[in-house]
Amino acid sequence: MILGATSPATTSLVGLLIAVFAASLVEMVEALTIVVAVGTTRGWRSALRGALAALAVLGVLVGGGGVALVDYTPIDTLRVVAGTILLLLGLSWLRKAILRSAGFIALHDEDAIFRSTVRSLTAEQEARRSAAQGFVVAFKGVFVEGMEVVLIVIGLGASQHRIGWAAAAAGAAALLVAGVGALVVRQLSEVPENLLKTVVGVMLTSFGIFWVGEGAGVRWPGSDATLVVLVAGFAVLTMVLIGITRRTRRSAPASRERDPVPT
Amino acid sequence: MRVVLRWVARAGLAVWDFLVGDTPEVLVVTLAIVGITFALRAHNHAAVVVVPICGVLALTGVVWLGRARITSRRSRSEGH
Repeated sequence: MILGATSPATTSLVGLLIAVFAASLVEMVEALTIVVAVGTTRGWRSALRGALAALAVLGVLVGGGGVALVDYTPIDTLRVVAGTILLLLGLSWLRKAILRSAGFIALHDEDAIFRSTVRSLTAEQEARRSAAQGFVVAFKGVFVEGMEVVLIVIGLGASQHRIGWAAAAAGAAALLVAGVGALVVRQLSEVPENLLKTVVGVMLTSFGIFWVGEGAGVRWPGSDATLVVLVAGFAVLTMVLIGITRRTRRSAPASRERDPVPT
Repeated sequence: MRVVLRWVARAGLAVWDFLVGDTPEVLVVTLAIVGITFALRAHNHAAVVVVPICGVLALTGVVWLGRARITSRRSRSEGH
């Protein structure tokens, strides 16, 4: 039930694993930046406790919510709801990634996040509150970044009845980031985040359209093969839009603005 | 009871902010695509062509709106 009974060697399973893994990688890098900032300023104990508590809550959300959805919701309803959420997230991620690539929004800067988190934590000097505050900041950082992954895991996993595969891909990405991040934590800013976000955005948008259609009763030609066409089409469109928005920005140069909502 | 309602309201606001935030146009185009898909469900040939095209238009539209919003915000701040 958890891993699904169908053959794993299908287009949609490969797409699911890539999309969930890449999305988790991006979000976990952001979460790790915050946890490391908390650890270096408030102590590793509270930082790790906060991070683990958030991961546990996220795990319960995936385990409880996802499995209940799969077991008690009609598959077509599930696909429409999941497809809608994937489409919403996919369009948001792609929009932001395209505007970042074109220079309209500043690229995400892990070093800046690290510095600002450290600054805000060192400003608070009360020793008694420091451990609790470190826990809260680490918890919040991991929870907020992880919520998007939870939606993607449930959305992609539930629509294909493969919550287990999706959760495993997310877990693998989290372990990879935790392992590599512990060794080379200051190099996190070198992760090509916007490129990953673009790839995930293309996949989520394609999956979203595909599953909304399937749920509504549309029979796609070639079934899963349509996904490949959708992914290729949105990848080309994304490149075209990046090119066009870059060109229009060059014709009207202005100061770069910071991204108000780090995602 | 009041506490529970307050928590539900907070959770609702958080979900709204998380999914919609400052880009309501993304929600609007997403719901439009879902609506069009359901409207065309009985016309499969049309749906397999029109629904992906709607996705293309939606992405182009939200990027264009985002670009226009940032540009107008900049020109307003430069005007002050």
